[in-house]
Amino acid sequence: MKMSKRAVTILAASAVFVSQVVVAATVATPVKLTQVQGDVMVNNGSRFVKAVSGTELKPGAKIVTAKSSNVSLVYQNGCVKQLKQNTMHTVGTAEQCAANIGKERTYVAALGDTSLVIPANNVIINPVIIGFVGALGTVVATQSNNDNNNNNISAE
Amino acid sequence: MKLINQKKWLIFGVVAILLAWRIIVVNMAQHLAAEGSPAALAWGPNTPQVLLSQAAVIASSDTKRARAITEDAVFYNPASGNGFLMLAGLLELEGNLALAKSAAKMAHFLAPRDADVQLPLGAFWLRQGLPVQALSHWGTAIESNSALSKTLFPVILQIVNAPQSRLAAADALARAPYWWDGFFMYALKNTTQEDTLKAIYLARNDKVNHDQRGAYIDHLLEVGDYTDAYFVWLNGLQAGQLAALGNVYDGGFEQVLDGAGFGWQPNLSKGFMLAAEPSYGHSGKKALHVAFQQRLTSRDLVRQFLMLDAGKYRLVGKSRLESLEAGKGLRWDITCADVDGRAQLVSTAHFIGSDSWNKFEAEFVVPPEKCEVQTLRLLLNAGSNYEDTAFSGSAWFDDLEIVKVD
Repeated sequence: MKMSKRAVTILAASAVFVSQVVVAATVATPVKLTQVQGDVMVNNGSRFVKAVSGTELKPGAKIVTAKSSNVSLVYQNGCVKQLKQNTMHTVGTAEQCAANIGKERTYVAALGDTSLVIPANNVIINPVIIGFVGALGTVVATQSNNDNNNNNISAE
Repeated sequence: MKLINQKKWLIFGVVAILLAWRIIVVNMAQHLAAEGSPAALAWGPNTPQVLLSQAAVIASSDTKRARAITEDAVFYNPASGNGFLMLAGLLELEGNLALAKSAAKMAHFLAPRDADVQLPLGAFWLRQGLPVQALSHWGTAIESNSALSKTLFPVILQIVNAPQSRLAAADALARAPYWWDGFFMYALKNTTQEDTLKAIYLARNDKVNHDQRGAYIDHLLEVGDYTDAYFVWLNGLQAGQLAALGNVYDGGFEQVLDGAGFGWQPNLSKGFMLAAEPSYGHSGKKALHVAFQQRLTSRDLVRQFLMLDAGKYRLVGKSRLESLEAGKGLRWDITCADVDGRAQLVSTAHFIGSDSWNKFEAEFVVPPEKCEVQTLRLLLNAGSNYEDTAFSGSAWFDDLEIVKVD
């Protein structure tokens, strides 16, 4: 099946038009900040200013949340990006939000287990400290007059 | 009447002699016990200190007898923290952990600030698998005797290094008074685990002093944890300082040049003066003033770390020169500051001579790779053919900004 030259031209022109509309919509679409809590700073060029709910930003703007601070970014396509505390985020497009991609640097808390009990042999202790008999011998030798004087030792 | 008086004096004399004898016996016994002499037993077989010494000697060879002797010592002096500490250890050796723990708690109750009791108590609780409790006792020991920090810091660091106890241990340490600062600096130098440092730092957080925060930020920059460095710095800023945030922090030089983190870091070497001072014709209350009085070699005069995303930018600022003679002159320079990327991004023309307030600008591009963090520096270029040039005059800079170019 052959398409006429005219049909191809119309299709190509339509495709260009549609892509331009999409690009224009993508670039111009502002992002609105909601639920701003704590120190949330936005940078639209060279300076950071404190953000308030309702602030509109364009893609490329930078947002920084300090500790105990967070904010939500609402894109016009309904996508919502939540920024937690200690995050530096560069606002992306609505499509990037939907695909959950974008430039973000986050300061995360230290890692560790919640279990508190560890076997003593996991820690290599100086024998002077852990040696019971040795330590007690030292205690007895150095404590002849301290028994009733326990609160009188001052920090050096 | 005279006879009654004589009798009174006689009774008094006898009592005094008995007391004196008792004092001599007890002190001799304690002195000899402290020296580990067997003669202590002859002087005062029932003196608690002597009994405890005796028990310590046979603790591992005859635990049962040692415990019986210790119980005697505790009987003669029930307020002895040492006695209960000894008892806890002996009961532990015998495998009676429940009673041992009770004795350890009693020892702490009776000697809550005694370093010589708290130190072994910490070891006792560590052996029971309770490192956080151990830290609490060792903390008290250090508070009573700061010299113990030398011995205890390496052990405490091992406990915080262990992922199982890291967070709880860091939390326990955060309550430490003055010695936390020393411990944090020790950990900075001696741990290879960044999570350990982070846990110790975050547990203390708001109470961290300027020096410790600065040292931690320097460390993070050194190891390439730029994001962490930035947020540790950011979260240490006061409300007024937050207002100076930008692509360049405090480009108007209105804040104190305190040399911390991502703020202005002045070079502290001698031979020139650098300060934020009032002048005329500039915005705000102050501007950066650099003045020369003697010949210098090339060097950074002031610098600042930047966190710019990849893209095109323009550095803008204002300068005023007052008969400035300084080799080839001064220039602003931006380079990548990653551990593995030091590319120069831009350098302004040299500032030299005399001029009123003038705007300067220079465009540059931050590449997407190996340039996560950058350095903005004011450089003195002493040049190679300026040996005979006098260094004098001064320069003023203000309103430094880095603007994103679309």
